[in-house]
Amino acid sequence: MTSHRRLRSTARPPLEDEDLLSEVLLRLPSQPSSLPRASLVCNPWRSLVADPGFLRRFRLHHRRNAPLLGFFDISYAEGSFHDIYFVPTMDRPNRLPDGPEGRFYLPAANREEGYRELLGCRDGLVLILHLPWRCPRRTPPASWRPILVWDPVSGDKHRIAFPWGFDDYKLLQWWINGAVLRHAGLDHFHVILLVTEEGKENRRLLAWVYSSETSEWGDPISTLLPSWDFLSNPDKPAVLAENSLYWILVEDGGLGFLFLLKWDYRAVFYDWKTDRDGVSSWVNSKVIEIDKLLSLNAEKKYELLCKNLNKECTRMLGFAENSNVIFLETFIGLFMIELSTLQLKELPRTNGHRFNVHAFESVYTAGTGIGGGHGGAEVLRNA
Amino acid sequence: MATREAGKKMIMLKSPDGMEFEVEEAVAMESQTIRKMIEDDCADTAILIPNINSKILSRVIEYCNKHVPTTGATGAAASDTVAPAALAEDLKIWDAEFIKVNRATRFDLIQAASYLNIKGLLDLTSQTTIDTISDNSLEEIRSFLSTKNDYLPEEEQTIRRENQWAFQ
Repeated sequence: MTSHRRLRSTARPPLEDEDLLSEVLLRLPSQPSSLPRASLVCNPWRSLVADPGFLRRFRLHHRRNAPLLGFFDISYAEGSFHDIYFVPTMDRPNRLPDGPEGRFYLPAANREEGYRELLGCRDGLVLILHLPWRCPRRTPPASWRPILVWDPVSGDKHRIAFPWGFDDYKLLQWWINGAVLRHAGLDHFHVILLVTEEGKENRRLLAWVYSSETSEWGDPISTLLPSWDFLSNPDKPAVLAENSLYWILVEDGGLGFLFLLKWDYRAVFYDWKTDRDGVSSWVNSKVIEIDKLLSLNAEKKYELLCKNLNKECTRMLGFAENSNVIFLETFIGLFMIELSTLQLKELPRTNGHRFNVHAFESVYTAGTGIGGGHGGAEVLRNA
Repeated sequence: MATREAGKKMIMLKSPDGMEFEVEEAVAMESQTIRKMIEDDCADTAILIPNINSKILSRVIEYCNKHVPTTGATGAAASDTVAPAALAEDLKIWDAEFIKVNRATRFDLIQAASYLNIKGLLDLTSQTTIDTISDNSLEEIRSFLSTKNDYLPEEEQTIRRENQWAFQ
């Protein structure tokens, strides 16, 4: 928004004035179909919603209430070298196309790239780690940039090298995790990389923060770990709460975690609460009876158990921190549950998800006009 | 800003149809455009607001009066005793009543909010317009806007094809 506005000599209806029209159309709902549908109204509307400046403002305007478009996962199917694929979870007409033809599909270039790990999604960005199949040489080439930050909506890709001083050859023995988040609008992001290091005497957790603004990693922050048990679930993604990242689940903006009683079909929430005397502890805040949501009685549960003795029971596959949604895999299908309303939605069966899936919450704006080409910049960064 | 402590400093706003409105400076400064004029010392005792007639200007002032923060020197209201959440809820109800106007007036208010740079009023008027049309069919939207469908049938088909999923 410009701070100084020019005067309009003729009083044209506001929706014929481009500046005012853009103010109004900015407030279209943040769902993916909003802009394509608006572009059908008339030519001036179409040119406006295809304008890069408008699209940017639209993304900024809605970034706090970006819808849950679906989730990302890695394909372990035969013949696939860990392609990253998207599963849409919205209903028509906001159901984005999936599959290799879709924009939200990232095929692995070739086997040489090694294998991939999906570390997380946040603020419309996806963080991917490429690791070599075998322990890398002691001195990897300077061009080796194993960290990829991908913006599926714009198509931009940023490749980043490991922090300076990072012992690459130890990589495969280490526990490694990370997170990505945008800061200050859409232009810049941070990557947080967590790595464990085991010495003779102690175990340390090292954290580095990368800023796309400076294209540099900061100095590592190190902390002693009391026990390896803290890291029993290395594939768990992080959660952002009140400007801090946690590698556990958060509810209502506070800190908490969810405990899943698999065989009982129950999810128990614990919150980190501080009482009047200033004593903090975990407090049981809510129980969700998943069996009731799924209409499973005792007999049905027993029947399912007998039928699926070799399979893993109810499993939490992932969660969406803004939309407050969890993804659950059960014997009878894949579901998403909105935690505050307990609204349940069944998702189409996929090939199965080996590890966590990563919720993707973003404002979809690409490809809404003729000439609105979708290049996708490949930005190579040497950190 | 230096005069703010006085609390009751008044300024005069003039509409092009010759009406004058005396308002508290703090109220007028809800408009970023007027705030800038005052801060840059471009404002005399009276500020002419071009292109906004007295009917619309009086409504804008009404809006600013309601939305000016009640804390500080000018705060006569008992804001200390009212919870912020209740205050926000009260404003929401007030806004909903305020925006119950006909289409022409709402469009005029959008224009005024944009020129005077009053973010809250621009949000309210624009969002209301979008909410009015977003559930309607294309034809209804066009007739609401008095716009014609200026697409050739094949152009329309191309647009639909580009993002086919959005029309299913």
